[in-house]
Amino acid sequence: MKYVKTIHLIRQFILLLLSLLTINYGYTASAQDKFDEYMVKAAFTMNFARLTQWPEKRLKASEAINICVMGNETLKSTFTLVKGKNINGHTARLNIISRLNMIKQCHILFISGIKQSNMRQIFKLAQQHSILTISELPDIGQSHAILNFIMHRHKVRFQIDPEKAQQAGLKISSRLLKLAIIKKSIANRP
Amino acid sequence: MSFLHLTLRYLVATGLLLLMQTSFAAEHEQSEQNSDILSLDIEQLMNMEVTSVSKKAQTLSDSAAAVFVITQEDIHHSGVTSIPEALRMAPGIEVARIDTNKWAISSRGFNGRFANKLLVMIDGRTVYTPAFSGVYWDVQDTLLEDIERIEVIRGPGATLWGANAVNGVINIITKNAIDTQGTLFSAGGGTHERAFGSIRYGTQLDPDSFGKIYFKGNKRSNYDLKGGGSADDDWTSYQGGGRLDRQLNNQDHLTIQGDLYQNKNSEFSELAYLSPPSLGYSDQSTRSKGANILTRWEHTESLTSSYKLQAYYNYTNRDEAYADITHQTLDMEFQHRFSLLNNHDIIWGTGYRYIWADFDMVEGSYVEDNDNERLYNLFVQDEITLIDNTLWLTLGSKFEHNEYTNWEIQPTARIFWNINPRHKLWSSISRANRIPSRFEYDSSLVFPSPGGFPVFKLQGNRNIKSEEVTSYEIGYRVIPSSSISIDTTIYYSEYKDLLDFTSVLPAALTDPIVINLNNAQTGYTSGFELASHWQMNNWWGWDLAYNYYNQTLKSINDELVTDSPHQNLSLRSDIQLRENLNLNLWFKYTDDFTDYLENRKTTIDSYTTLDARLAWQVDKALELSITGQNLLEPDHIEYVRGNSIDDGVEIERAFYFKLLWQY
Repeated sequence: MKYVKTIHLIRQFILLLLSLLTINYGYTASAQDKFDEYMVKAAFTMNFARLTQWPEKRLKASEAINICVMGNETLKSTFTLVKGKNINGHTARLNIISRLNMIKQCHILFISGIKQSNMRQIFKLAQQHSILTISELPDIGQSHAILNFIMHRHKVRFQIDPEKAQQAGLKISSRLLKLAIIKKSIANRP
Repeated sequence: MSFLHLTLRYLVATGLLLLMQTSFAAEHEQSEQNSDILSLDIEQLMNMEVTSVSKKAQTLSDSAAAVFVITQEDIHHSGVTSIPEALRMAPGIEVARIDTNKWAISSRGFNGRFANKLLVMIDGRTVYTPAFSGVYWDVQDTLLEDIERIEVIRGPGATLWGANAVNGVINIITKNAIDTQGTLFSAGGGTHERAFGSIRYGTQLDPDSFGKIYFKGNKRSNYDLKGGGSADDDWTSYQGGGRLDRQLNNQDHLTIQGDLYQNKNSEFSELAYLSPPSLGYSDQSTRSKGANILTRWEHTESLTSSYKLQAYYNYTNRDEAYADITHQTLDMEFQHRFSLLNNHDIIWGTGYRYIWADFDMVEGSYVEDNDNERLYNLFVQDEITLIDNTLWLTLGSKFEHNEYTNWEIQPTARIFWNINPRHKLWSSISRANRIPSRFEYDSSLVFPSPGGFPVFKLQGNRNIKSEEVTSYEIGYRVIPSSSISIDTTIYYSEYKDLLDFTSVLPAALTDPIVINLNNAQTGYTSGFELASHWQMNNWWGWDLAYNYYNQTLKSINDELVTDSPHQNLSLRSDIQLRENLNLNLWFKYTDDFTDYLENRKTTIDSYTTLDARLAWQVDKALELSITGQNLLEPDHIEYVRGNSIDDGVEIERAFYFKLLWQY
């Protein structure tokens, strides 16, 4: 007997939700247009590679572009998609990074889910090797990367620190700069 | 009848429609997105809606333990006003509100006001009370907006965390000061949450240092007793604190943080005396105050090597009708992580804790207060990569020394199999101990019996042993589509040396019934836990938590073993109605169960509750919200207080309004 009341309440609750579904249905965009966040970030990364110019001695005409990732399993397995893709005449290679001394060969380095103090150390080293560094923290001021992904209403946006890019000897196309949120200096560290 | 039919038809039809829609969407995603998306222009990508289910699932799914994370967004959207209420979101955690200022909270059974098999930490500071190993939930608070996440780990966590982590660990982690910059102001009030307010200010002190300070206050009113009349349980609390985070250089990070609090809880207590009159009453309020300061230094040697040094001092005082108890704790910990031979990730550490206690008990009760407590430990854990990115084995043990039972060894073995990015399987065997508390070892406590007299006298036992659990767990996590994640765990736990008692009847009615403690209780518990998230579309998400619990315990006093609810369910629905309008609905169900408090059998009926919160983001800085709690019924009972005079406190339907301003 005691369940009767509960079932009644559950039913009312579900009804309430369903009625909400009906009234609000028009608000949604088409549900099937959703993509996995890291898939989209991998596609962004390909575009960053296309719109960045490395110093000549760092990326020779026929050389492969090394895209490096460091972080969780989902990130690593999603980025395998970029393997073998063509970027401005260079073949993309994917390197999974587990040690600091492996990063010297990277052209692009995407780091996620590691401690901020670690990140700071890695990005400082990366700076010396003309590496396009990418993070995904709430703000680029905390990340010390050249590019930082942020999420805005279920869409991927990115921030750029042009000063850091210049220091690393990278030329970033104006097309990319136009779409980016340029770094506001909340933490202008040396 | 016709209404029922209509409803059912509507349900079935809509349900099918939804299912079809999602499964089609999932198939569509799998086949087409992989190949196409990489060739898209950056402008096209910027207009693309994404789901983050796999990423969110990832943050907790790489560990070989039953972990659930309550995020800041969960806390914010649910409208909870305290940490205990937030814990209801986690599967396998039983939260029962006893009255306005008291909760009974436990993991995997054994619940009670003084539940003692759960370890609770705030930013690495252990908050249980050494006198009885339980947690006073009314004094565990912080600015809810500044909580980064609450990690809830079910099952033994003793190897890494130690003392008390028998059935679970709750890890409350607040934000780094760099993430709490600017001003936050909140204020509100309502029917039960009479008035509350908080203010926080965070600023950059120099290029490498960030600081914040906060202050908050809450005033909550009385509930009513089941039999009528006020439960005398109103609650006023104030707390303030601050945190400083400083990046010393590329490798070193320093955190200093602290809090101060003061609470006043109305109380109606029953007191027992050894000499006539054996029974008395007191309406003395409970006053508690506390202070803590913690400092943590983290050094990062390289990606695979780091160490951490932490020290804290904690002062608590609680002045109740039957006791005025002060504890001071000094705790120091060191932890070092490094890798060895490419496939070993080793963490080892050591800790020392010193506790000063001062007991001022009601006449007739006493605690030997001449010796203070010392606890020290050493632990080591090795995560071995057996197959790169696929199979890991973790072995570890804690060696802990305490004043009562000397050395306790608490080992664990865990295996984690990353079958593929969507399927993960793990399993573990671990052992943990609960060391005796001060009261169990060293005290003589007089308390009322249900009949008034003769009174009870609990006699501590210096030969008492640690309670011990051996737990077997299997977990499976799956991401069936890019919008759904499911996390399941089954467990079986064997207990031995659980606390039990024998009672000795007095020769004369004026003498107390003496209760002697022993370790005679044994048994096992088993259960199933499920947590699932479904991002139905970009504006509507669902979170389900469910657990089934079963226990078989053998006691000298078989008829007096306390049970726990066999089922708990929490279903949350987060709906972004408009860009600036959020509706959160939270449905909870708790099974009935039978409890024995001081030899009195009580059955708590099952209950179903619904909370709803509607929030309007007026502009970038200002949010207005209205929250309704326990909406389905005028009131219900979740637990019965440990005295003989009432049959439970009615947890009422309540509303409150809140203004939150962040700039």
